[in-house]
Amino acid sequence: MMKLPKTISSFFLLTFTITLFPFTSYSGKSIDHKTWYGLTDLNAAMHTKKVGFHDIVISKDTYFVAALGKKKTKLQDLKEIWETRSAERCKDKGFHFFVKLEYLFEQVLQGDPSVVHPPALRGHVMNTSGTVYIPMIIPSSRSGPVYASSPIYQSHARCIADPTLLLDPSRLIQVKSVIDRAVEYKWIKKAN
Amino acid sequence: MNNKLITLATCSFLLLSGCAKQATTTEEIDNQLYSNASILDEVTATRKDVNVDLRKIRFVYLETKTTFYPGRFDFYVRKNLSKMGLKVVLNKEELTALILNNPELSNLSSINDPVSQSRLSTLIGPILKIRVTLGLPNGANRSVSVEITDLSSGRRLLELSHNTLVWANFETEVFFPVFKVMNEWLNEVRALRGSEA
Repeated sequence: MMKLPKTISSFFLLTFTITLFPFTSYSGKSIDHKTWYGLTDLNAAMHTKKVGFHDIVISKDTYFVAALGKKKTKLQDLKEIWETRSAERCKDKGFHFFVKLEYLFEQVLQGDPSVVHPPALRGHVMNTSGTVYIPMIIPSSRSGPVYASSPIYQSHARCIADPTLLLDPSRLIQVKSVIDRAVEYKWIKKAN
Repeated sequence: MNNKLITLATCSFLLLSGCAKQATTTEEIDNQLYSNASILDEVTATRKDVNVDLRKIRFVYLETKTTFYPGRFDFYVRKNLSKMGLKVVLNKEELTALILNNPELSNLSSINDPVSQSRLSTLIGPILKIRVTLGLPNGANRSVSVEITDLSSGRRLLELSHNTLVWANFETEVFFPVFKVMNEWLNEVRALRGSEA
């Protein structure tokens, strides 16, 4: 049997390693460990090759947190990044729980004010009838704009002091469990 | 030996002090909001109406439109609005959730047409709609347009457009000039009518 020269076999081995290395390192939670954390400058929000979080302080117990991904970032990873950052923010303020809000002033606790004005100020319901317009799409000969997109997971997080007041207890997220998971992933260091 | 150590320590201290002087604090950055915006290309303002009371505005409805990373762009604009002092912001998904979660608003069938938007404004309070569009016409050309509308009255308050060729920095050349004019408009409104809560 013909034996390959040493340089050629080394070349094949090197090529094999380079080709397969990215796939092997993508397994589990190892992908974004070092790249996502600490994305703090605002310009990075439009830096599409970075994965990371960004947040906005809305009030003393509410934050808007966004986890920004690259093209192939899994949505589950972004959700966990979002939860980690939200948990960190709430933990810093001494809260043990938080919920993901669907919109900023959502009623999640007993006693939260209503979104809609009192009945006296409401409008009246009108039955409407008339022409129904059906949308038509006329194809154009022009080529369409270049479309580029990447996943993003963004929402308001509201820190909760008393979980018994929550209207829907199934939405409650525990700060400790999220922090523990992030420590397990080696995203953050365990606090002393 | 001691003299050498003292000299080394002094030099290190002086070097570090120099670094500390050059660093900018967050407050300084906020005071100079968009100060490094490009002045080469003017922002065209086709309408500028300061007759609005920001204190009465319930929230900002943010509508962004682009084919270039729409999710990131939506967040980017929201972050800039928060820097300008507009923190209560709802985008299309959030506004849809608000309408679906509140049975009192179930008679609203659309959030796109001006009539429904006006009705929504009547039901839950005055809404300021901010629409920001980023276009990529060709090559390195970029265009940004901003429209601010008071949905309770239907009045268009601010209309801005900015077309530019990006030379070095996407953010400072494309967005900052527009946000600078927006920020100036907000400051003008606040000076006339007082700041929002």
